Amino acid sequence: MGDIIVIAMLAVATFFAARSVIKNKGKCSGCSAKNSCSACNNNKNSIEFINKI
Amino acid sequence: MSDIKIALAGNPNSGKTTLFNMLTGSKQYVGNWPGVTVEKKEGMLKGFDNVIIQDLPGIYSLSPYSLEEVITRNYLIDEQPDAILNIVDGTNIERNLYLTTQLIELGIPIVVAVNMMDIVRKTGDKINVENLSKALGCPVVETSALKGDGAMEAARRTVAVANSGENKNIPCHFEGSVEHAIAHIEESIQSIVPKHSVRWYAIKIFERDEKVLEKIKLSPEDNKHIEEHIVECEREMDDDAESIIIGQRYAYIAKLMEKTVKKSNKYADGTVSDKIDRVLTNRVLALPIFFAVMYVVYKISIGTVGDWSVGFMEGLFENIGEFVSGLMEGNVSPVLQGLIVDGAIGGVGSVLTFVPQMIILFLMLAFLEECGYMARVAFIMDRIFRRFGLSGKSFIPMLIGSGCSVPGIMASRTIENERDRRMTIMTTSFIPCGAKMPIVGLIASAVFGGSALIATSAYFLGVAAVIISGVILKKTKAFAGEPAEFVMELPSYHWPTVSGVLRSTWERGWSFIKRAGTIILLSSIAIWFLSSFGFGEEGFGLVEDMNESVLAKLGGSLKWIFTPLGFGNWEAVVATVMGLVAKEEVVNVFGVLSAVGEGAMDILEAGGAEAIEGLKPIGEQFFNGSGLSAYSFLIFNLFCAPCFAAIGAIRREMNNAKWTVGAIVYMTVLAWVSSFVFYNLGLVIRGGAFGINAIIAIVIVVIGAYLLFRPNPYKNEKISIKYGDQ
Repeated sequence: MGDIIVIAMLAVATFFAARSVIKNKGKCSGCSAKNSCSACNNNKNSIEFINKI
Repeated sequence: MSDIKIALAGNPNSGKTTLFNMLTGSKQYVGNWPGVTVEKKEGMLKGFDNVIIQDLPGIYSLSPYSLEEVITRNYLIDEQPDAILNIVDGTNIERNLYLTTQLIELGIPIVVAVNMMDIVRKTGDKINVENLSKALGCPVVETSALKGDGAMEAARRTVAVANSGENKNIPCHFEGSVEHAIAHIEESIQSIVPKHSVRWYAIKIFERDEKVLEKIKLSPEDNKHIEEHIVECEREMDDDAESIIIGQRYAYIAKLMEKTVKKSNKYADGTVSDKIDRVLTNRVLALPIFFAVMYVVYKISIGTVGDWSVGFMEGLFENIGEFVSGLMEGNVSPVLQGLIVDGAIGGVGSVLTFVPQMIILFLMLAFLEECGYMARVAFIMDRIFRRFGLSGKSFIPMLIGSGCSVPGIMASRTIENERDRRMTIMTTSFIPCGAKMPIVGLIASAVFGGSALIATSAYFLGVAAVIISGVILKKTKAFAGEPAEFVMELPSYHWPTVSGVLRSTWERGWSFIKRAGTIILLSSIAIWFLSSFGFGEEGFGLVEDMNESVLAKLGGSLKWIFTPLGFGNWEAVVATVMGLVAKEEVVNVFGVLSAVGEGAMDILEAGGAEAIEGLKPIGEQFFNGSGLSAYSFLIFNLFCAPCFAAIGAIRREMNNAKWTVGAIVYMTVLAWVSSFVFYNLGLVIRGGAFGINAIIAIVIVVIGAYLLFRPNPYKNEKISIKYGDQ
C-alpha cells in the first residue's frame, strides 16, 4: 500500500513538473517562473513584431 | 466604445517603464540605465476599461539608429496611437525637448509629462510648466514617476486630448528658406501621407531620411523638384540639410529654455552624483573599485552567507530526508525509498542549498543596478572594451545576463552594428548567470574552503573571455570594423526603492526555486534511475556499484573528451552534459550521485557541525580534492555552450542557423581550450611532469598570443549598419 501511495504521489509531482517544463520550453528562467519575466518582458509577440519591421 | 491607444514615448532612462508600471499596475523590469526596454509592452490604464498604454523603447529622436529605436518610430508612424504621453526627464529637459518637438510635428495629440520633478526641485531648478505648455501648444504636467506624483493626472489629460482629435500646433518654426523648402515638399506629398503628419514627413524628406523616402516612393519629377529646393537651401545656409534642421531645432529649444527654465547655481561645482563619479569613474580608480565592489558582493553572498547557509540548508534537507525515510520505513520498498530520499530530495536539496546565497547575491546586484552604479560599470567597461575593439554597448546585455542569459542575449538588439551584435550574442553568456552561480558556489565551498576569490575570479574570467574573444574575432573578416559609438547618459545616483530591489530579488530567486521543483526534480529522478540501474551479471536491474550503472556507461563513453582537462570521471562528464538542460543541473547531478554513492553519509554526518565541511566530500569524490581539476571544471562550465533556453535565444536573435551553430561551437571550443591550457600548465607549475599535453598547451598559448597581438588586417574596414535580417 505504501508503495502505491508513493508511486501515485511521485506520478502527480512528475506530471506537474513535466507539464511546467513543456509549457515553459525555451523561456528564460524568469519567464518560466512567472508568465511575464520583468527582465525580458516576455512579450510573446516581440519576435513577430520585430520581424514585421 | 473603441479602445484608446496611448503611447509612452521619451528618451532612454526618462522613467517611462516606471510610469507604465504605475499606470497599468504591471511589474515590468525597470533598470537604472538606458536601453532596458527593447520591445513595446502593452497594458490597460487603471480605472479605464478602454484605454491601452503602450510602453515604447526609449529614443533620442525620430531619426533612429538602433533596432529598438526603429520599433518606436515605426509604431508611432505606422500604428498611429490616439495620443502620445511624452515623458521628459526634467533634469535634462533641454536634450529631451529635442524629441518632443519632433513628436509634436507628427500631428498626434500629445501631453508632455515633465518627470523627475522631485529631483528638479531638490537641485533648486525651476521649470515653468505653464509657459512651456503655451509655447509647445500642448498640455504639460509635472510628474515624479518614482514617487507616483502626477502620473494619473498626466494619463487623464492624455485620454482627454486623445478624445479631442488631432494636434495642429507647430511650435518649432525654422528660418525662412528652410520653411520655404518644407512648404514645397508639403505640397508635393500631401496626397500620399496622412494629413496630420504632413509636416513631419516634409521635414524628414528635407533631411533626406532614407527610410521615409523609401516608404513614400516619390515620383522622379517630385524628387527632382524637392531636391532642387533642398540644395538651394543648403547652398544658402552653407550646411547639409540634416545639420540645418538639427541646429535650428536646438536654437528653438534654447529660446524655449530661456522662457521656461531657471537653472539654480546650487550645484555649480557639480551635483552629488558628479562628486561620486569623480571617484567611481576615475580613470585610475574605476577598475580597482569595480573589482573591490564585486569582491565584496561575492564575499558576502558566497562566502559569509555561504558559511552558515550551506550547513543550515544541508541540515534542513538531511532532516527532511530522515523524516521522509522514517515515514516510509517498513511501509515502502527500499528502492522507492532510495528514489525519494537520494534521488528527489538529494537532487532538489543540493540545488536549493544555494538559495540563501543566491538571494543575497541577487539582492546586492539589484541594489547596484537600481542605485545607478551598474550604468557606470558599462561606462568604465566601454573605456576598456574600446581599447580592444569592442563597444561598451555590449556590456549592457552582459549586465542583464548576470541574472539569466536569455534576456541578456535579447538585449543585444540595442546594438545597431550587426557584427558587434553577433559578437555580443556569442559572448554574453560568458558572464556567469544566476544558474551558473551554484556551480561556482559548489566548487568554492567543496574545494576552496568557501573562498570569495573563486566567485570573483569567475566573474572577471567571464569579462576576460569577452575581451579576448573581442580582440581575436575583430581581426577576422566576419567581425571587422570599428566598434559602434557608445553614447550613454549616466543616470543620477539615487537610493533604490525597497519594493524595486525586493521585487527584482524575489523574481530571480523565485525562478531559481521554481526550476528546482520542476526541471531539477525531473532530472533528479532520471539521474537516480540511470545511476541505480544497469546491466549486471544477472541482466538489467539495480546495481550495487554505481560504476556499473547506465549513467556511468553513458558518461564513460564521453570522458575521453574531458580527461585532458583534469576531470575525466564519468560523474563530472554527466554533470557537464546535463548542464545543457539547465546549468543548475551540474550541482543537481553531483547532489544525486553523492547521495546515491558513499559520499552521502559523509555529507550528512558533517552537515551540521562545520558548514563548508559538508560539501568537501563532493570535492574529494569527484575531483580528488584537486583545486586544479575543480577550477578547470569550473572554467569549462562557465564558457561552454549555454543551456537550451539560451541556445534558443541565440538562434532567435541570430536568425541564422549557420551563425547559431558557429556561436555554440566557438563557445565550446574556447571552453575546452581554456580548461586544457589552465589544467596542463597548472600541472607543470605545480611541479608535474612536462608531457605532451603541456607542449600542446604551450602551442595553444602561442597561437592565442599571435591571434591576440597580430596586426589587424581589416583595420580600415568600413562597416554598414543593418537592422537584423529584415
